[in-house]
Amino acid sequence: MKRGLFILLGILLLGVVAEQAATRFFRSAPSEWLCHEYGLMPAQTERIKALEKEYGSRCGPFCTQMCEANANLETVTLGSSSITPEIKAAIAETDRIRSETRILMVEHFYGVAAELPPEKRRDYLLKVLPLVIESCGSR
Amino acid sequence: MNSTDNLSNLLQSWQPEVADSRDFNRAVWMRLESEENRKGVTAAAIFSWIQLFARPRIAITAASIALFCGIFLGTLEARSTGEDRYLQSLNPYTLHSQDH
Repeated sequence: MKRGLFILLGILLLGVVAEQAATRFFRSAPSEWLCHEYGLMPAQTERIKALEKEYGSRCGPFCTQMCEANANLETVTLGSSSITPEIKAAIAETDRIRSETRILMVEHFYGVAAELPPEKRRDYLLKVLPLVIESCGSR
Repeated sequence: MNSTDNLSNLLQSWQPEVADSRDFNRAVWMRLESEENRKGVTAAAIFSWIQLFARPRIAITAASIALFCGIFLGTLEARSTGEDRYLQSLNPYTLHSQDH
């Protein structure tokens, strides 16, 4: 019975390994999912990849700025027991960076949507807009 | 002194009512053996199907099925996470953390 048990465990292990390997093997780049989902041609795919590269390089600085602004907001907030002009300024600064980031994101979404078939642009925007438009829960 | 004598007399007159030692031992061993056999039969009935995997033909078939199911589920998993990973890639803060 031990031999059968070991073989059974080996078979189960084989199945798990196969599942993990297939997941990694068939997992494509995020942009490839987009191109497959919306049936894009190779030329459009290349343009999408170029847009994403540009988007990534433009977003990086905003993240650094946001981290610094958040750290500053935390420092001034912890150093006070009531709202001060410094706190108001720090909050405004985080909002400014967030707004600029959101504008950049929407700009990128429009750029990508322009590469999609016209009838699928709205569907794409509905998928990505929740990233910049916070849901109120009721709609 | 008198009570000690009474106790000694009582002990001497007492005859334990125990079955014949040979029959007693045999009965105990038979009960033990039957209990072990019963457990063995139950375990064998439950796990007998595991022994089937020791047969090469069944083992190869089961391995093929496991391989096929694993690849199939892996493919589904890879496709189902595509949208989530795309949306995650658009998050500027995620993008930044991936760069570093």
